[in-house]
Amino acid sequence: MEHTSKQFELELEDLRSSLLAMGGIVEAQMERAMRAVATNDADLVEAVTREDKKVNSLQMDIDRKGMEIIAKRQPAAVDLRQILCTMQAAGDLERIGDEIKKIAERAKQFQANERFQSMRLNEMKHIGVLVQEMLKESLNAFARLDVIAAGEVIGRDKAVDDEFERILRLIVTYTLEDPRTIGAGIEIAFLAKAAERVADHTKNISEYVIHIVQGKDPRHGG
Amino acid sequence: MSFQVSLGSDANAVANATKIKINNLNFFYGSFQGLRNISLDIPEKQVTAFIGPSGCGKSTLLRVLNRMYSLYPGQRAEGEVLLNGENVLDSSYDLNALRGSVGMVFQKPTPFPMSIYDNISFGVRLYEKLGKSDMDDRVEWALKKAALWNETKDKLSQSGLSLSGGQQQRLCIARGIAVKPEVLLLDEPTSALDPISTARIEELVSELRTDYTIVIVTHNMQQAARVSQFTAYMYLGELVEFTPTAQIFVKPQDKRTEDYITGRFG
Repeated sequence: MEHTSKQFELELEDLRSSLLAMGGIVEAQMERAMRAVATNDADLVEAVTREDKKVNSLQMDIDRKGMEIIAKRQPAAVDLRQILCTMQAAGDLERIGDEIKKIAERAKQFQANERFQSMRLNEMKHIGVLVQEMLKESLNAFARLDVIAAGEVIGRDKAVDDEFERILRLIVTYTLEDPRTIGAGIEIAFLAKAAERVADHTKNISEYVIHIVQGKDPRHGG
Repeated sequence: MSFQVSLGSDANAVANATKIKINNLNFFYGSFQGLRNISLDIPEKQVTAFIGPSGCGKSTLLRVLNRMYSLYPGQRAEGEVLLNGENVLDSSYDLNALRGSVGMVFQKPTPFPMSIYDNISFGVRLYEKLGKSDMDDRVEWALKKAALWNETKDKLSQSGLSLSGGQQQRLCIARGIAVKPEVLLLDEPTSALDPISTARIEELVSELRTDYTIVIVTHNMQQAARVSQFTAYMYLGELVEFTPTAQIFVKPQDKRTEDYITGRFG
């Protein structure tokens, strides 16, 4: 059912579409960063840094809009949850943006020997695909307020954690064999860690979907 | 419908004993049924708010609690309203005693056209024989409780009508508590007041809660959210939902409640 106040309805819609626009930019950023890891393309890295400023300003925009609606409308129940969760989701997207920037900047400095070259291409590609899918699905779930899709994203976080563990083990194995690869190994560990953090934030976004729709807080197993 | 309150996570909503127990209450304005089968436990020394769109029966329910309706012919109530375990709807229940233990304050301030002092003492005289100094003490006590003493102590002999709207409403609350009731019914007590007076009355309601069981009808949902520990949502003469206030404004159980408090309806 729609609000009696059409203006209120428009304000909520505007807040929602700002978040989805922000999500679209972050998705494109992730794609650029993963390509930068594979190709060492300096232009891609520069694009990531440039676009991250947009992400930051969109977060501030969403916070400002959310505060204005709260001050003006005193929202309750589902509206209140929607506004607060949208502001929190914007916070998570901003942090995802920061992790992506870390990935891109590390990709630029990457000087690997042959073995790590293949790790970069294969292992990072794998965890990158998992995380990109989670990001896309969490934003879709948020757009449609789809609790089932959100639950699926939350379930996938474990696979990313496992993948991260696996990459760390590989790095340990390689660096024990050849200590000259320690530097490159640490670089890869940081890359994988950043990707794993992105997955954590997409999990948060999916949890907000459940909180908005069902009013229960699923964080920390709640 | 019967409602047992689950406390949820609201620390303010303490599970006090039931002060007023309403069982299967039906109310009729002639042939029109204003309330339908309402069952509700109003907890002692808490603020309970009734909310709902115009005509939902919230004021009617309030007026049943002290049998205010019995002033009007053709209005009747069926069922039970147990105050301390006794059915106040029973014709044998002493109406005077009921009005003494269940006080009421209305939407518009209704001071009597007499002095501030007499506004307070008038009701007290109906129930108690107090000497001059005891009565002075009672008037002072009631005005202090209603946060009006400082503004009126030097002009107690002036007419109650000389006060501002907000002060008049606090005078009515002072008058209501002067007879030391157990329950205070407030029917939209701030709808005719400015924001500052409203804030004063709300503050007063929070303070009075330590001594009285308070039931408030309000159109202002944020007011219900601010002052009450429990909220009942009513619609078309039925009780839809009765839960701790903190819960109803964050996650109501019933879709109709959610639509109402979020401004999608009514």
